[in-house]
Amino acid sequence: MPSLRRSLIAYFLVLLGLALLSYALVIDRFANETLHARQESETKRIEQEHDRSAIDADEKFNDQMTVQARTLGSELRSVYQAITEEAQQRRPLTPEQQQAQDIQKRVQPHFNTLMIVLALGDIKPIGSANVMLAVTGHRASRDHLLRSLWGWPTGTPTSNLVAERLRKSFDLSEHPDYFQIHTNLTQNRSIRSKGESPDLPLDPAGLLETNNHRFDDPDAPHLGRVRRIVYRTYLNTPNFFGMGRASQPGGGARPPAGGGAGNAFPRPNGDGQPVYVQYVRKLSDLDEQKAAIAENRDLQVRRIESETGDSQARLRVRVAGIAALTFVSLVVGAWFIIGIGLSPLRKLAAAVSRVNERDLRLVIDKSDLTVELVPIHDKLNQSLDALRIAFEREKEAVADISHELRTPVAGLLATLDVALRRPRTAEQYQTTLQECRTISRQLAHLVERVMTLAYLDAHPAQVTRLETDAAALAEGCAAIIRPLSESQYLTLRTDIDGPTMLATDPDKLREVMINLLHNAVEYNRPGGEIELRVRPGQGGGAVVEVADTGIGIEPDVQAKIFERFYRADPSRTQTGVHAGLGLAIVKEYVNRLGGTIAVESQLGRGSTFRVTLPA
Amino acid sequence: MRILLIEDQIPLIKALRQGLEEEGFAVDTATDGEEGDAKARTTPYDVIVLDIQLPKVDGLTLLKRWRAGGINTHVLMLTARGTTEDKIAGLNSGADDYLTKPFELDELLARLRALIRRGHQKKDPFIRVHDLTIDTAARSVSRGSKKISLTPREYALLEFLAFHAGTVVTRTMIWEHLYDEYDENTSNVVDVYIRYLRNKIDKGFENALIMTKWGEGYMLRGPDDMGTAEEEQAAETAKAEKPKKK
Repeated sequence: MPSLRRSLIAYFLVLLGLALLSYALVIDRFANETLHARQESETKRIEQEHDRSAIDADEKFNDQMTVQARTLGSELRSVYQAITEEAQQRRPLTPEQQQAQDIQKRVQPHFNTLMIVLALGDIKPIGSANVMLAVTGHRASRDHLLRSLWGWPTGTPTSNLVAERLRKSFDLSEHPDYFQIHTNLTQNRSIRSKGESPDLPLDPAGLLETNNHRFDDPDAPHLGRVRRIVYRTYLNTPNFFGMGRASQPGGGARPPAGGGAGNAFPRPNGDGQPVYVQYVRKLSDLDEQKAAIAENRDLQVRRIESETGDSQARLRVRVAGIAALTFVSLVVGAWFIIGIGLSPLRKLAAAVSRVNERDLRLVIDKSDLTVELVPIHDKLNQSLDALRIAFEREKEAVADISHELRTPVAGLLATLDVALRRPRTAEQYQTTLQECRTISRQLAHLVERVMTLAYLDAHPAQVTRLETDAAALAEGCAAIIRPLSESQYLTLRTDIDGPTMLATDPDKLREVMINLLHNAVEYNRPGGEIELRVRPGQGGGAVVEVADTGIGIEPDVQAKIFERFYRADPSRTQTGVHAGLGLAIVKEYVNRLGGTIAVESQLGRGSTFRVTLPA
Repeated sequence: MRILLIEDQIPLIKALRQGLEEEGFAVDTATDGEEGDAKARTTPYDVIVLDIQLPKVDGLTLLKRWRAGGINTHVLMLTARGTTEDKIAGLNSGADDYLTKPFELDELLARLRALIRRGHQKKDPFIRVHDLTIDTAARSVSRGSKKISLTPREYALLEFLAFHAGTVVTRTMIWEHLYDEYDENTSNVVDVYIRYLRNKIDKGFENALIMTKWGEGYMLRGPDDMGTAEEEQAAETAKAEKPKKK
């Protein structure tokens, strides 16, 4: 059988489960969105950071190259100036020098490019004097460089030799970075380091007038992908090779004297010889950096992704935990709450279950009940009261019937016992048998009446209404009773006005009259009178009266005589036929015919029963 | 043994009166509560048989009234109401026994006898006085080995004497317990019945059991009292002679 509490809880749980599930789903969804939005923005930020870092790296790379190129440029200038000054101080020139100078002069227009190829490591832009020192890894100071260069104009007749000495002074092997310096002071000759050099072409046109450097990424043989900076600076060439000074005293190329243009820093728009420094660096360095940055980015993105995943998982676990906790606590709570809510019902049920056939009372404190249960309680109580009354009546009726039946049976049995105790004469036996017959008749009569009442109880409303003449019916009844009344020395008279028509059940009306007349005979005094009166009632119907001259009925008993098994004077059972059922049957019949019965009585003078019937 | 029967059922009264009288009981009857009350208060009955449903005053009320008024006569309730509650109500009101209608006559008789014995503080249905044995259940009497047959009234007289063995019972007492209200015989019949009884009980035996106490009444010799037949005989003679002297 389904339990109210359990089914309520089940419904509640289904509802709760659905609610929690939908909440969890919504929360999960929103949280997911938020987390993913955050992840996206974070990823975007990381991407941007990465892009910026990449650009920064690029710029830094370029800056470094720029610094490198500038350093080289300034270094070149310094060296050039130093050489020039040295050359001037060493005048007059030896014939060899003169010759070299001549050669130089002769060569100069064709000496377009002085190529210095240096293989250098990481060049740090620190000051100017030690740059070479730091980058070459060799103990080569500027003085050393100068010393190396020193002998060039005198010792070596050709620019080739200069280049060689330069190269010698820088042991530049095994360095991936390259410098190329182009000037128009030298012939188009290249000075190469050991190993292969890219020998990059120069395209000065690519440089604007205002912009003294340019980056590009050419493909360099043997070096792979490289970045190149082409940096333009100016040398004060006339001071060194006498260029710019068409005529010098001594007829030779003479560098200008110490001050003046010789010391002046070359200006971009100066009139010095332009020098193009190409600095080349492998892009793999930059690529490595960029790769590291990208790797860092990927790492961060992955971290963000995993963080998002973790957060999501954590959130889900939390939401599930909260949902489970809520569920469990609400289940427990609901169990108690529903239990408390149902307790009045339980109390009522307990009270109802305590009701049994012995105790038809609903024992429960009404304050324990709820408003909803009070009508049930009241209705139950009413029903139980009705049932109790019915049971009590039934019990009384059974007790009465059994009493009424047992009494004559006891008499019968005692009579028979006594008769059989010893031999009797025929007359004695006859007397006994007659007594037994009397008692048996009494019993039969009693049974008949009990059965009549039982039948009436079982068939509540069987009335066949016919147009009946009460007067004629009364005459008939009087005729039936007259022999009995005469046998008791009673006078039975009728007082009938004539036809009194009414719609009623003639059989039941006859039963009523016969019973009343029987009673009148039975409860009369010897030599008394009985009068049967029938007259039309006021407003139709009929009034039937039976008057006797009997013992009468006490006033306080008059209301009870119509109850079953009630007798006005039980001692009058001497006459045999009476169990206090006659008037009960009469009343039942009269009720069914829709009429009323009343009694008027004076003690010792007699009683009058009046039946009033509707039309 | 005298019994009052309060019952409103005429056929039952008739049958019971006949049945009880044939068993040697003296039976008075009353058909309503008031009559029964009056009789119970004026006569020392051995047992009252009381119906509950009675005209005028019902049986339970009567019983309570008697018990409250100090009338302790044994009462056997007789009623058609047979439920346990009814029985309990009857016994609580002071009834000594309870019998439901309809009943067997033998059961009524047995219960009446038991109540009478109880009234004389005897549980044993056999009353033994010297060599005389009275079986109150079978209503048979024997002396020594000889069986004695008695009429109901003789038996009732002997039983009454035996219940009071060793003490004197007056003629009035005997009268009151052996005869009902309608008996018109005088108390002389007691003497007559005593003589009948003597003839059957004492005649031919060495010791006479029934003794005459002059001016008082009769007595059945108690267990400790060993009189002789001669004494009795002398007493009898004296008794016979006395009226003659007068």
